[in-house]
Amino acid sequence: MSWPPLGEVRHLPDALGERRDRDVAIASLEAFGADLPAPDRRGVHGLVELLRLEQARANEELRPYVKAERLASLCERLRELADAAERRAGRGPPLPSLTSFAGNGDGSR
Amino acid sequence: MKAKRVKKLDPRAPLAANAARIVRVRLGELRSFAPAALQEDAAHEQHDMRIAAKRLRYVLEATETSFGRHGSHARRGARSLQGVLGDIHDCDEMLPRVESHLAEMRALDADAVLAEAGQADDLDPRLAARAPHRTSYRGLEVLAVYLQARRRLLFGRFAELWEGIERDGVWDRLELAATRVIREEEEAAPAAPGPEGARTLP
Repeated sequence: MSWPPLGEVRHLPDALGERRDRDVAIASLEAFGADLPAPDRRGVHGLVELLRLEQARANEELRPYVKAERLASLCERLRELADAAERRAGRGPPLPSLTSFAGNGDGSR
Repeated sequence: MKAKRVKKLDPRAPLAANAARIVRVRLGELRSFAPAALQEDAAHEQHDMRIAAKRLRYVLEATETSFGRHGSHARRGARSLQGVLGDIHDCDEMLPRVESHLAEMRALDADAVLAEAGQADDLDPRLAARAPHRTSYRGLEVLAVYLQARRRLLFGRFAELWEGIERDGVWDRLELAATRVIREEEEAAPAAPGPEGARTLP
């Protein structure tokens, strides 16, 4: 096995990033709007609503990438790559199942 | 920004030697954006520098122990740069959106006011005062002011951060540590060609 998972691990953060960009922008605008006098909030709220529509679209694009079966498959392929590398090196203890890491993240961008 | 290829990677060589080759290339990429990114309005170069800082940070997160304390100092520097440049990028992304949103509302309001005018010879100012989005402009204008001011403040922080990292020799020390690792590996085991030999990483 060579590099098929590379495309997947590139697409996954791209799709997550599209979603997260909106999350961050919405949170930031809501915080900004909350500090404005009430009569000035309407325009900012309108912009937030636009971003929510984009967020919903980004969710749809993200959905196939985060299905449990797809993540598990990716993890297994990565594990096979790591195992193959270890066999070539001829050392090292067996790795724990990578499927246990599915869904974890540190939130960094 | 497309990552520069790393040459002479060898899966048979120790991790430290391969990591050092990757780090030298990623560090070179990062430093190549200075001094251009240190111009306040160089948004494109600042964005590229953020990507370069991210790549350096992530390779150091996995391999910094190969470079002693210089690895962790550089990783922290790259992380700080990534953070402040990311915040600048957020401003650069949001400001045009706000301005475009304002322009769209103005166009819609002009259409609505014009429609209200009907067949009049001239436009009654009282119609503009009833424009549908008339109460939305001020908050967005204030937001644009905030974004412009925040970007300037963040740029100042970025310039200071970069200057401090260079002044403290963080990049120079990492470069020296990486060069030393490569030299030691080359002296210990001269490279031999083979089917699993040297390769490049995009």
